[in-house]
Amino acid sequence: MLVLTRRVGESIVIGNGVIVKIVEIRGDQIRVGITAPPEVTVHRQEVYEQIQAENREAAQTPRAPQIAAQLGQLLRAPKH
Amino acid sequence: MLVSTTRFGELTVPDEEIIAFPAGLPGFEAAQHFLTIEDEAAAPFVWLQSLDDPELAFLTVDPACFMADYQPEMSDETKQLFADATASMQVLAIVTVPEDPRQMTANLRAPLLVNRQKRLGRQEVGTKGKYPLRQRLIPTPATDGAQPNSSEKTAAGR
Repeated sequence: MLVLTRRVGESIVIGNGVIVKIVEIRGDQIRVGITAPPEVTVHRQEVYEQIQAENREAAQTPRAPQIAAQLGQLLRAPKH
Repeated sequence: MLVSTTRFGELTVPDEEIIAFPAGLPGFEAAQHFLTIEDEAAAPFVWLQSLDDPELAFLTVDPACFMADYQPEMSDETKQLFADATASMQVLAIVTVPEDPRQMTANLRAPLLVNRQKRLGRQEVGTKGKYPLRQRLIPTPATDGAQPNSSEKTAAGR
């Protein structure tokens, strides 16, 4: 892993068009500004991993296409 | 384009129905082309079938079906995507179906936003966390105690 030291206001350029700027340091928190082309997605790692896990689980939905109709019936079923 | 799928067999997909997800979906970054399959019998659910992976299909639902005031978060990237065409935005939440299908949930935290006009889509990974990752579609009955034995209906439906 490449480790660089930066001061507030300084930046790092990654590849073609990704710029990471140190905006503010407050105690043990660092605010980072990121400029990236639209095809590069930027996320907080823990949030991204949560969505990844949820997508993987959702992809396990039963194979039969009829499941959708059955679930639709469940949704419409009168509640009691 | 002729595509083979695990669930729907061989499909002939006109180019104008292909939706590109340039970044893929988290966990499925290589799946960048999808087709929505809307079937009346399945309503309100919509299948999102991958054209890159025959096995990959997500069951999705428009959150407006059960949450009228749902307002997805939109990152700057997404706003760019819809800059000139907010009107043609389709919102879909991915549904996760556990063993007991009555406990199915929709992912309202990270909805799929599709620009129908440009045929481009993104899964919006919200930063504010305004909506839950797992929103139950069938509310938990108020009388919680009687729940475990009420599975007859589910069994009949399978």
